[in-house]
Amino acid sequence: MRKILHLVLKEMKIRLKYRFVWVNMALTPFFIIGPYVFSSRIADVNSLAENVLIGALLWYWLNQYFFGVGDGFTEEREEGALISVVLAPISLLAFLFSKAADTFLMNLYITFFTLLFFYLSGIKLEIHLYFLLLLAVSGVYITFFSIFFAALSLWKKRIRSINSTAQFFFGVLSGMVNPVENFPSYVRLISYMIPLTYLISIGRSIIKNGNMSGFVPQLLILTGLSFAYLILGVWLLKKAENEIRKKGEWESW
Amino acid sequence: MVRSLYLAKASFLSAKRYRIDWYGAFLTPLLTIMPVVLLYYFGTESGLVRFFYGATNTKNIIGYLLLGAAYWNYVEVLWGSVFALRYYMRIGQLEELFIMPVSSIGYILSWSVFGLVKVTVESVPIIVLAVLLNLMTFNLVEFALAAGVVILSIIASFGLVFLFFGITLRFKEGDELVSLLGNAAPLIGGMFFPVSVLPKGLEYFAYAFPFTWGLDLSRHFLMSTNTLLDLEKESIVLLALSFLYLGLGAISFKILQNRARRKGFQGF
Repeated sequence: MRKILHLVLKEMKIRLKYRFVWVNMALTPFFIIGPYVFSSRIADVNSLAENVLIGALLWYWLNQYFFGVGDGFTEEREEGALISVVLAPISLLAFLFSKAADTFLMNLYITFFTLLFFYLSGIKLEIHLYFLLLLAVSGVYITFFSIFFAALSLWKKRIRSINSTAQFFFGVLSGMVNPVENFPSYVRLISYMIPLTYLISIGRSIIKNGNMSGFVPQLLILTGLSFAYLILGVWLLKKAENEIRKKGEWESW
Repeated sequence: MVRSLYLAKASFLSAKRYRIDWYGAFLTPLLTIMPVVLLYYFGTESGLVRFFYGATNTKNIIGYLLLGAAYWNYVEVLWGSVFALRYYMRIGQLEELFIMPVSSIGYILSWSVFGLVKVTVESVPIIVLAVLLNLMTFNLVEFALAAGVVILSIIASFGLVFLFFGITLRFKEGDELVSLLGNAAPLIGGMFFPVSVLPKGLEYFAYAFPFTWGLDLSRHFLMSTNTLLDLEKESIVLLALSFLYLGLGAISFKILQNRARRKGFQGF
């Protein structure tokens, strides 16, 4: 745990050196999810913009985890530093968890500014304590999902090329802008395999009802699914690690 | 010039090796507009269609979005030069790059030509989709006019490339600004809806952006949508802004590059 905290601290110290990153992080999410939220406002249905904002915000959390954790080995690989990570007395899984903790902190920063900018643009989301809890939970569960992607990316290097595309797929299929119930049944089958689907649905319930009642079954499925991805991810990570060790490919990309 | 084109060719041949990169690039523009398409598709009782018809003179929202995505593909791809520069900084090859017999402008040209060729290939699905769905009804003259508008927009985009390239050389973090602008531009420039929907502050900002006018004119020529100003005035605004951006970009690049060379390129 201390090792993870040290790594998080290191990431934060590095980031503090780059001032433009903070400006970019504060503004970009508003601009990326803005088109979807503003389009829904055109529709003249008051609750629609709120629903889309919740969906898009949670989707943006997934984006950050997919870049931060899912793509967690890429930068080190390109800079030739992955071999140092492997030689360091910390497991690859712990290394990814440190990236997840760092992403979580950045996501809090992002969320604050995003909600502020939407508030100033006239889209006001009533934030409940439960919603903040959900964000924390989503951090854990999306981390598990991202570890699965990171393992895939370690195993098959070029997978990272479709990271952004995959994120959009997950967003659309998870019901970022519309409830998944609108989709045909065969599309819904895929939707229900994505943890984000449950998080968005729970988030909308919280904002609508102001409490956490009525979605325990969803939370249970979400927990089961996320742990399944974690187990699969850890297994794949080990498999990829062993394969790379055998082939001596730590420095190739 | 010849060296730059050879570099562009080399980049293209390298890119051809990784087919999976192309699959992502083919799909991303379509997936970007997909959430708005879904809002439109599942929201038949919503005011989206009414709004679009009133504000733009078209009910063809999918065509409107497809054209916006194709336009932004061309404008934004040039900004990739800054990411390429940053990439070489990160992997520690910037110094080697600058002792090659190719100038900074040569690199910008090379990476831009590569980007334009690549984006033309990547835009095929959008263009085919637009034609298949018979979304746009235009004649050759209108198509030529729209192409002229895109070329003017590309000239303006080069202005920003020069500015951000210079900033990256001098302050290293230019890619963060490009990323911010690249993410903000579709919203501010009217890719998804007319800029009149934006909050007032952003709307005024949008008018200082040549791409807002460029996209508006392209849509007018290809889809007969309403324009922000009358055609003649809007063309003059686009022309003036494009060359203003190019001029300012070129000057700032010169200044920033000289300062960066004096300070040294090492580090990132």
